[in-house]
Amino acid sequence: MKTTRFYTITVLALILALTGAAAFVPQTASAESGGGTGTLTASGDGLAGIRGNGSVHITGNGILYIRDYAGDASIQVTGSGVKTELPNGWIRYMGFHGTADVSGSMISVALSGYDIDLQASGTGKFLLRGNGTYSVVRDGVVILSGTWTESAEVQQLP
Amino acid sequence: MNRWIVVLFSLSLLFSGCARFSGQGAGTPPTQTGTASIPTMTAASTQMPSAPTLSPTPDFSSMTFVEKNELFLQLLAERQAAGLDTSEAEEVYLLSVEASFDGDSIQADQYLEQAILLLWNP
Repeated sequence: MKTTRFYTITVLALILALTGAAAFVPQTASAESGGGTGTLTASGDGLAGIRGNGSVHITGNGILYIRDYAGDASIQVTGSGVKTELPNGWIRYMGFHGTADVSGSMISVALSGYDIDLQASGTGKFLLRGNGTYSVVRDGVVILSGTWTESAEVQQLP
Repeated sequence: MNRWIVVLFSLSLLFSGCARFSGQGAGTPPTQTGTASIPTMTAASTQMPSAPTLSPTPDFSSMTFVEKNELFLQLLAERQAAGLDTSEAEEVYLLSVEASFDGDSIQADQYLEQAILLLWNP
């Protein structure tokens, strides 16, 4: 009887230990599921891109690409850069150094270069490739955070 | 004797769980933090094609994405300042951006390297 109780307690202790270890493994770049909109904040060097419905505020240096799929986008770009409207629908700012504010129901905004700061609110997907950090907030709560990646990893907002 | 072995094993698992709890709490960002610094080029990437001791092509295998991207931007600025036509490289580079949007790193890197080479040997 005493031995049985001892082993019961031991098994319970093992279960508790394993459960505790699994519960606190760091949740790297894992998003909560659910609806609503989110706000992405990111800064770094490399390629930052976002596609979807909402508004984007981005600053930095490099090549800026903007595309308005739905035809309802508001695009405001300040700073320097040579603007070219490409036949495939993209608007490109070569030698970009400044700020862009873009909003619309189906837009893509990408900035390739350095000293990139991005804030985007809405729904869609985003890409952060290179060196940097980011976080996603929904309803005042950080639901996702991490670093930019070496490979092209597309993530959902929110 | 066997009982003590089981007890010691249980204690080690408990300490392991506690160590994870204290060091990796929920909401802690990943340990690899971004530096957001301007990347440095490798020796191969900083070489200009006009230099006499160049390797024939950049050593892409030793370069990170940021290094390759910076190399492209640097070459593009130089070629445009020299008045060369860079439109083909720009088109290929946009394909790289679009492939990145699709999450296709391999394709994106291939286009990026192709765009660099178009500028490397204009």
